[in-house]
Amino acid sequence: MSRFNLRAQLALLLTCAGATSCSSSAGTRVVESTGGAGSVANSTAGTAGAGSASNTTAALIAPRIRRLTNAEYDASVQALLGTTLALGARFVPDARLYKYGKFDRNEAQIVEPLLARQLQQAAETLATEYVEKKLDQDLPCVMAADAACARQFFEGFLPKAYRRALGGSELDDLLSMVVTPALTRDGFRPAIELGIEAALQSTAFLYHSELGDDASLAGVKTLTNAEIADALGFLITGSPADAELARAADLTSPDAREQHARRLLETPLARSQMHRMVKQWVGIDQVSDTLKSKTKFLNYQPQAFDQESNDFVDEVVFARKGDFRMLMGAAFTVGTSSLADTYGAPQPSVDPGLIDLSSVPRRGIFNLGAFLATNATLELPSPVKRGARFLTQALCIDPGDPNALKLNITLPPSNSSQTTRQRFEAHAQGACLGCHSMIDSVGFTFEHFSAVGAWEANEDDKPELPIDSSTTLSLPSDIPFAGQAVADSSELATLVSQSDAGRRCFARNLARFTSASYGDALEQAFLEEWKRLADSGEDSVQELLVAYVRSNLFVQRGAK
Amino acid sequence: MTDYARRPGVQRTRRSFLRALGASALAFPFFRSLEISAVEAAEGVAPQRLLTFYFPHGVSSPLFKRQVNDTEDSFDLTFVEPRSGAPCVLRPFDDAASYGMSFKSKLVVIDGLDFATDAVGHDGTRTVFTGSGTTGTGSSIEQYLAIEAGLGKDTPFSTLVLGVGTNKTGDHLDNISYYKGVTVSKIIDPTETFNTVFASLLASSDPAALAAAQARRARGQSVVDFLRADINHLNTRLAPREKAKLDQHLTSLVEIEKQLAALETQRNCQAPAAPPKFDSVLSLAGGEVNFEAITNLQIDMLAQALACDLTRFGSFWMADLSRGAVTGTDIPYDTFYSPDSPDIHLTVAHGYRPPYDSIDGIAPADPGVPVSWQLSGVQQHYAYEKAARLLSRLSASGILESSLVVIGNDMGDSGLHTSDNVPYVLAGSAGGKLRTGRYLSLKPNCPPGRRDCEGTNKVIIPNNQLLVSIAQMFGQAIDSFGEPTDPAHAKGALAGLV
Repeated sequence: MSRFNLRAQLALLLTCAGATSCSSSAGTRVVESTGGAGSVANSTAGTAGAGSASNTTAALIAPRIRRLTNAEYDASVQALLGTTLALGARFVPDARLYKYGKFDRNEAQIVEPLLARQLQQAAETLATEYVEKKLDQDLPCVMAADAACARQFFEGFLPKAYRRALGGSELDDLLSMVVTPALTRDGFRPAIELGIEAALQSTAFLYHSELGDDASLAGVKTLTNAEIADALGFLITGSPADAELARAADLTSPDAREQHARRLLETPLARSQMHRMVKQWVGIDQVSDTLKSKTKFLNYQPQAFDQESNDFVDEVVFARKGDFRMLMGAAFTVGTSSLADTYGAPQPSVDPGLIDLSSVPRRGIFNLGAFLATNATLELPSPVKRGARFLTQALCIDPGDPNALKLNITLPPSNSSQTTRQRFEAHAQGACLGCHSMIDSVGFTFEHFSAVGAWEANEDDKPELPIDSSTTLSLPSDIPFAGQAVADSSELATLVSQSDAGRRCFARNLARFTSASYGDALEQAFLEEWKRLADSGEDSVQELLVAYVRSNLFVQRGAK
Repeated sequence: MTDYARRPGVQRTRRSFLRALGASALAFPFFRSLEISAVEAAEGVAPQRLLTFYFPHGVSSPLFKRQVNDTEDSFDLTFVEPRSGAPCVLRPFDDAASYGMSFKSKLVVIDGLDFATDAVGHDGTRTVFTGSGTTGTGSSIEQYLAIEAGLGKDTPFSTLVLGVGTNKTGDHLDNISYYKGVTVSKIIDPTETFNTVFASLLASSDPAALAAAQARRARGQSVVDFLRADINHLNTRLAPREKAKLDQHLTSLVEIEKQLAALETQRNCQAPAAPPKFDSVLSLAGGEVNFEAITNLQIDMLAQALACDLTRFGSFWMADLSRGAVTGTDIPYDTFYSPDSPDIHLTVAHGYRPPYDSIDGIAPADPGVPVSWQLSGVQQHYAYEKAARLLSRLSASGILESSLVVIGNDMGDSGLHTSDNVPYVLAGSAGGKLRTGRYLSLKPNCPPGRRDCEGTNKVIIPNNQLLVSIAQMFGQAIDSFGEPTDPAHAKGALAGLV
């Protein structure tokens, strides 16, 4: 045995003796405790009606403010100003919810110096555009161009910008500190511009408030009606409340929230938001940025995979009102005839349209091009990336960190006489075995899919290199199909789609997205809600969202 | 293998020095006029400046460590390692032909510091200048000195955080600058750097522009005043965790306020020419082919921002040579990259195999793989070349002595991706606070060419001690910095440094 392996094994022994990381077959579960229903104490009397048995003070999110994501910023200025500009897309990227799903809805977002400058510049651009193009039609008194007209403008504008009724001296503060001095100094239009700039940089615009009415920090609070409207709008549509929702006065009622949620789910904005949620969960939202070898894959067009992902989500979640089982195990996708060719599937009856995958081994979103191309190198499939990503995102299993174990990581040398799997089977020995027996048993199931997601019988079309995607799944013992033999990733996806483990993991990820945070108590409470729906066969993605919106988790905040 | 790949940068000439300054030097016609910076001429006493400089993937130990017969004060940075035939990766610092002067006498090379946090592999990036781990709540040293200690209050930008390739926020492996535990975003597009940093110089260069700037300041200040009142009002309703978010927001407003004020400040510096626009500046999205040019531009503008006293604190995050980032350099693609992977993370970095000591009773010594040292060294030689470029710019502006440049790295052994014996190079003296021209080998029992000297006699010398020393050089009476796993490791200055 080599020197490196000895050293690495020593480290492995120490690590495994002390903690959780490796065994011959299992990695570390990611905050996927087995607590389940009833594990959260301190249940409060439900005030939210149906399905609220799960809601507990321990699971409640603390009162907070959440900075809008860059996409939410763009949606908000577009709704407020009627602009088509999307300046937020060029801001510093959102800090994603680290490790536990790469969601951009993240309660930890802040306004740091570079972003503050970008917000300032964006506000200036947007205000200038609005005053040039929209002010005259929106403000009848514009010809008067006086202080009274300026007040009139901001009386209407500011509540829309703040997404709530104005409190105390908020209007007067803006007028006295910003607008009136500018009126004197620069004139009417520049004063309106400056007032808009200030409003667009205010805390009320940039942060979604979840503080409730009560100014004290003790006890359970219920969000204000305006805060609930805001939360509902951003959750379901990625945008602020539309006019109908903003007018609603009874949003502490679960039924009213449900009614608006269902209405919003019918809008195009809800589809965009659902694309975002599903793609960030799977980790494919940046597939359009992936590059592939220009010599090996001449016509690689990752945008087509992004479009396919969106269309697939539309078909599953909206057209068929599907659930996790369908997202994970669907025997169809939506795309062009060219995509059908790539997949070796029958042509769609309309182009683009529904592609029947029942005759080919490709099931669900983890077997579509976006996942396969994202988790590959420029030229070759990456069984490690595919296996590890599938474990974390589809099963909530952390496969471990080789760096923490001080293991040598060596890319298997290029060898044109071996398949990718054969090259990577070096993992099946020494210190790597502990974790890679699990990672590779999942990753190898995708072997028939090239770096751009095409199905291949033989590696690089070489008959002497037949691809073998069959494995025996080396998974933690509480996964019911641990130890089971599968022929390929299609069988794997089908197994996971039908499993509680997969469905629970999806529900956890949904909880993280909806709450813009992570934490076992909240996720367990969400799982309890999921279980109630799952037991009655009503756990479609849409119904899960509606159930969350109805629940106390959505409208109450705990004291922490 | 080409000569370059074996001995990168050896045969540099005066001509190559001019080429090293290159197109960007032409784009900065006033650079040489900054030999005595405006602020030093005005005040007579040079303010201290601090720049942190980072590149990933450790160093090739046989090409970095002090040689057997060298001493702290007498050492060679031009050696050629015999087994690999590769040069010392620090050679750019002693290459007057390429950089106009040797910086050897301006350096303190430190070998033997360790990270004492939970951050492993590339997560160690978080620890390089914070001394904290993945859940740290502290600031990196330049943010601490500039903002928390207030040393950056007199310049338009308390700090300037630049980078190449990635502007991701919120994760450990892509960020070296932190303010109270939160990542500080990098500017990675030279055009944005130019527009952000040199706007005040543009404004103050003629009377009409100055008048416009004054009007702009008045408008901007009223908005800042309004926003500050707005934040303070909301703050009264928040629990401490939420207050921290608004504290960050208020800090950002202070920065905007200072930049507004700077609009009216006349400076004896002129703005550089606008940099070219690049079609892509992001790694993993085709930006790599522009990285050489972007790196040079960002370094030059960072140096000029210091010379113009637009900031006194900054950081620079340098990308590695993955995915075709050698385009435009002298490094030949075909000899540096593995045929089937242009990502040096999995080939060059993880393929690094240094020599091993023996571990008693377990395994004999291992001679390592010399070709892996050479390949790894190409990356580091390139990075230190860029650091030397920065030093040459600061020197040309007459501010190297008053500055301290701290060049750090996320790991010691890239093969294992571990953070023992992580290399640091300090340059400049922070205004005479640092005795330079030295090579500190902190673990004398760890012989040259050996990996990390771990084992039963392993001694941890936390990088926190270096950060304490730096803070003290900048006048801070502190004896602890960062949040290592064992709090005791945060304490104390680095013995023998100052």
